[in-house]
Amino acid sequence: MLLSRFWYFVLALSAAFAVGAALLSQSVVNTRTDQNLEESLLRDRVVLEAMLRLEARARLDRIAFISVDGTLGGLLRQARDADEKKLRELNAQARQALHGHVKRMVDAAGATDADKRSEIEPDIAFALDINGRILAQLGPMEPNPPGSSLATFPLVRRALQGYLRDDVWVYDRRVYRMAARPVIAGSEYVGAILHGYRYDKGIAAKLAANLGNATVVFFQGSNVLTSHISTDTKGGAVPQAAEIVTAAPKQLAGHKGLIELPGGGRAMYAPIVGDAATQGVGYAIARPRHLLTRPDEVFASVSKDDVNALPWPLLAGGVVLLTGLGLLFMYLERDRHMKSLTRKTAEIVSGDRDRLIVTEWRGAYRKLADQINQAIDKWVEKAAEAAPSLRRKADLQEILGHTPETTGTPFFGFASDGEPPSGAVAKPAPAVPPMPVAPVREKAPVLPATPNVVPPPAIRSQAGAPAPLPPPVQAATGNGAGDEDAHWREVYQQYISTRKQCGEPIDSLTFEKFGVTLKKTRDQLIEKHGAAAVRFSVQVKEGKAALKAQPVK
Amino acid sequence: MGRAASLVRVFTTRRTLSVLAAALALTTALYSAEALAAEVTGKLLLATYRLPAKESAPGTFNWEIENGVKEVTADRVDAKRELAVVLVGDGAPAFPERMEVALSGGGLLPSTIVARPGATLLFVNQDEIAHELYAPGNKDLPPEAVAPRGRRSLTLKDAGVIELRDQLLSHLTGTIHVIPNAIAVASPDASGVFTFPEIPAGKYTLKVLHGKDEIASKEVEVGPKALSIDPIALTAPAAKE
Repeated sequence: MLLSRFWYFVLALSAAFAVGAALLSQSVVNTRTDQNLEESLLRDRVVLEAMLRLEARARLDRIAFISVDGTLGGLLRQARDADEKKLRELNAQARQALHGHVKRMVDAAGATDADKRSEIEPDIAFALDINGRILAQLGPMEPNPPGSSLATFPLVRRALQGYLRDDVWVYDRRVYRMAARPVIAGSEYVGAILHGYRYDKGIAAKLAANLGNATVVFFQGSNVLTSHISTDTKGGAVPQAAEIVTAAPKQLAGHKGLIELPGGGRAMYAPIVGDAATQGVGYAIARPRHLLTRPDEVFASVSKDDVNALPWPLLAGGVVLLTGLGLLFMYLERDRHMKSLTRKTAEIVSGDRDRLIVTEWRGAYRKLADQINQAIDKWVEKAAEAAPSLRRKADLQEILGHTPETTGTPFFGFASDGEPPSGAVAKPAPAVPPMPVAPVREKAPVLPATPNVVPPPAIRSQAGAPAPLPPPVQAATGNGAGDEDAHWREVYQQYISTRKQCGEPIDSLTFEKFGVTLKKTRDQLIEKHGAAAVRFSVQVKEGKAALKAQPVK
Repeated sequence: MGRAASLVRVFTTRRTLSVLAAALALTTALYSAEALAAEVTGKLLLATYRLPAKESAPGTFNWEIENGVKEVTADRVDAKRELAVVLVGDGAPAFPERMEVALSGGGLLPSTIVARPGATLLFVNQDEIAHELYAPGNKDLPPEAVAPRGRRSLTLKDAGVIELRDQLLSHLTGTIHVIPNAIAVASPDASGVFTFPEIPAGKYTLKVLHGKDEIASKEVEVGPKALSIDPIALTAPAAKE
């Protein structure tokens, strides 16, 4: 039963493993979710900075037209040593040149609709002379008189030296993405052109569209400059701009940048590339963070492709193989023996068999067979006690056949040393009357029905008639010495086998000694009962092998 | 009567003589002092003064590329704004009690300021944008907005160096050197020429300051005649190290 019971252990182990695997899967999925989210945000940052870089380059290129404009170049050359009065005179013309520059940019970009125009038109623009003084400007301070200087701004200094450069400014408390180019008139630098765009022209939405609809926020300190909130809610609660800005670290520079938001999402923070970074201008990319709260949610995220990718033939084969193994183990250890036991008990019921040969089974089935045999014996004894009139017939005539009068039970055995025990011949049973000799039969005779004798259910026939009593031992089929020798050898082999199974020693029990004992017993019984022959059978009595002698008339 | 008149004449004569003598002495003294103060001029060799490349720090721009048409010019120091030439020594200072510093071009003009303890600096915003000047770690100058054309003052108490910053413009920096024995300060022009109009005769140390750094130092002796100092070579702070 070990294998079939082991199978239950395997089953329980598999169930425990499945539950453990589900719990582990939840943890693994959550860990992987965090890792994927972190990697995704890092990728987003790289992509966003690359896009900002390209956008800065586009802004630099947009002012290429005006930087080579002859009219503006001439005006800036005149402004070099001009006093305030002269600057005022040049201012109007310079502003006109700047407006013309903007118009050319818009026309070159093909911007016909308002949205596109607002994307191209700068929010602020400057025309600076070689000293960094403002000759003209567009934007919120356009009416201001010329002459103010921007000379110390790094962007301006580098542009006046001949560099194309971008920057991010906080100018008059507004944040601008700036670009500057030098203006060359003739063979000399005469000034610089600057223009800038604020962070409120849908740049966040434009960038977010290239980041898989992530949430993008540009901020300065605790103020949101512009933001695009993701519309994708599949991954959980979408982080909001206010939440992101509130959770922003105070020092953006040098910080790793990955922050867990109070609402459950995660955000990557970074300072903006430019001078404004020192004023707390930065950006954040945020994504929702969806963690599994129950193990079964693992299956909710399984896609059809995942299911299709499973090795179904292998899984099905495994199920079939394991089921087959289980059934095989059950057959070998239980069904086979149960079937055999059922069949042979059915033979007892039908009268084809007197008793069960316990050596045919092992373990619990052997014990069961032995108990069935004992039950049969007890029932017979009870039946005999309940109907003494039948005892004589049953015991001697119907069951054992005709035997000479005897008072001993026909069981005997061998001592451990193999020598026949003293008095090995069964003592005659007390008060057993002589029975008429019955012919040798294959089957046990059926007892006549009697109201005083009720056989136990196990051996009752299906028709409700009393079951046949245990049949007598197998009758001799011949009287020749050859038959007897064959019979003795068969009994000897069966006896040896039974002693082995009962754990009794067999070392010194030779067939010769065995034969001597059988012969002695046979002779005694023949002499005592006047029988023609004696048949022997092997049985187990109280856990020991025993021989039963049956006189045959 | 005659005696009285005589006494009056004597008194009058003595008093007159005393006044005359005092006037003569004062005139002589003034004449001598005038004769011992002299103009001191000099020139800084700016062409050889190379600034540390502080504007190429990463993270301040995405693109900084040459225009491809005309060669770019070297980054040179703005001598008028950034350098200060100061004479240090014993003697009567030629410093005003109140000095004006402009907030112009998005920076301080001058950005290297020299003064004596007790002097008052008046910051005047000439830009079209506001400034929030402050001195890190100095309670006398906390961040405070100065609107366009607005003013703000600071009285200097102790000797030392004070750094200046602007909360609204990160590139704005300035340095105040409070030197007790500073005699006079001059700003060089774009070519590096500087002039001290009237310096009393004596021995002084001439120092050239750039921000918090002293980039040149020279011993000078001022006599009764105008002094022209030999051109002064400047050593960049990074090169000195």
